[in-house]
Amino acid sequence: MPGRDPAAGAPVLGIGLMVAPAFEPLLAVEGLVDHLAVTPDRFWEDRGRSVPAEARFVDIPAWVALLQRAGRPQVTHHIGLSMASAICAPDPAYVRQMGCWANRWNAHWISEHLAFVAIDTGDGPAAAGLALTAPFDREVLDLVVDRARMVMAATGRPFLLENSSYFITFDDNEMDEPEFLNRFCEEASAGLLLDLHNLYCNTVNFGFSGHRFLDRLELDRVVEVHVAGGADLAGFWSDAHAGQPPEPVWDLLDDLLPRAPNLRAVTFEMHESWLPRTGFEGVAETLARARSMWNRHRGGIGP
Amino acid sequence: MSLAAFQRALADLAASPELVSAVRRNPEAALRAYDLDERERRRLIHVAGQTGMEAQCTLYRVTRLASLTALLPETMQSLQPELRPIVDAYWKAEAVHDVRFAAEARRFLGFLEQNPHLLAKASGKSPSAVLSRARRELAANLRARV
Repeated sequence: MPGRDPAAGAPVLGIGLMVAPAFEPLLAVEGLVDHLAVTPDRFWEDRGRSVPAEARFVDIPAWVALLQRAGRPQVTHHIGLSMASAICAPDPAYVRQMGCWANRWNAHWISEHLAFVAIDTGDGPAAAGLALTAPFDREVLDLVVDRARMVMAATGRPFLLENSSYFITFDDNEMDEPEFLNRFCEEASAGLLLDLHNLYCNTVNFGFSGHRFLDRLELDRVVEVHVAGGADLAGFWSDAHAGQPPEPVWDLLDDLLPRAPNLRAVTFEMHESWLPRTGFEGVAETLARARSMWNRHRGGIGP
Repeated sequence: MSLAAFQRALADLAASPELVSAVRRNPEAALRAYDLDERERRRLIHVAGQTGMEAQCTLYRVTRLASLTALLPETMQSLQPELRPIVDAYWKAEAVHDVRFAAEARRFLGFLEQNPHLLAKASGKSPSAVLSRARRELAANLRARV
């Protein structure tokens, strides 16, 4: 891998799937899924902060059994750390659990979203109820950098920050999004999980060019890419993980692949509730298209 | 604590179309409860006026409903046509979404048990029958994850 490498030592994983038990039949198809992206928060039950740390996170056996059977390289993709929260400190038990999970499954890296899901109610942290965007300000950048460093120190794994989709924007951000992401990578010595569907959502909802956005990013920071489909929500395009990626997402991937020298993985995200509409064939078709595009630009992962 | 207050206000806006409307009508009064600096107050007024805030409110409700429809799908169906007022009453009683699906579903079932009068019009069945079925459904769906 040339130059600075935010995922030093991690192998090239190729084409993967954000996994849930419903997708297991696809794992039996040879050459279709190289790696599993795992949202651990879906594989355990979090019994809450009031429960002693050793008893707080409990496996959901049917889900964990899938990982035991699958025998694929894994990366972990968390949703519970709340990178951009102005709470006094991230949940220490959650950070420990991130490390335990990554060690247990030998995850090649850990990722989280640029968003906040926890708020300070005055009586301690509480769930915001959904992932919310924060202004691209120095104060928020400092929070996110600190948390990335904390995760890397606690887990010993590379850390990637995922760009988010959003429905609202602040007209007086201290920096724009590419600058924020570039500075994050520099200051945290971390990488990017570039979600091309999130980027696409923002281009549709706020009318800018995703390709120009890529021009502004330091693409050697990109280690993993997400592709996904979406849906209309109250007149906005949302990151609903609904079906196959729209054509502009493929155009963005086609643009990115030759320009991201440290890219290790492309992951397809689809909520399993969409399987009746896409069929397994639709998922397989998406994975095959991603592989074909990867092989055309980068070669090497076959078949 | 100012950023914390700003984020709390932003989360409250996402959870409450009523608060969004209040900020649009009378921002000073609606945001008085939050310890904000001038920039944060201006930003919240600005985003409350965006159509994207309406999409965000919709997403919040969809997300909150998802945890209930995932674990109590038949119960939710059986609550029609009174589902909306029941869910509104539940959200009023429990303003903070517990994003853990099992915990949120258990809490909703507890709310129904404490408010059986809300079930009277819902399904044509007795509240005790609705509750009994809901308990069985939740237990079965939690067991299916094991």
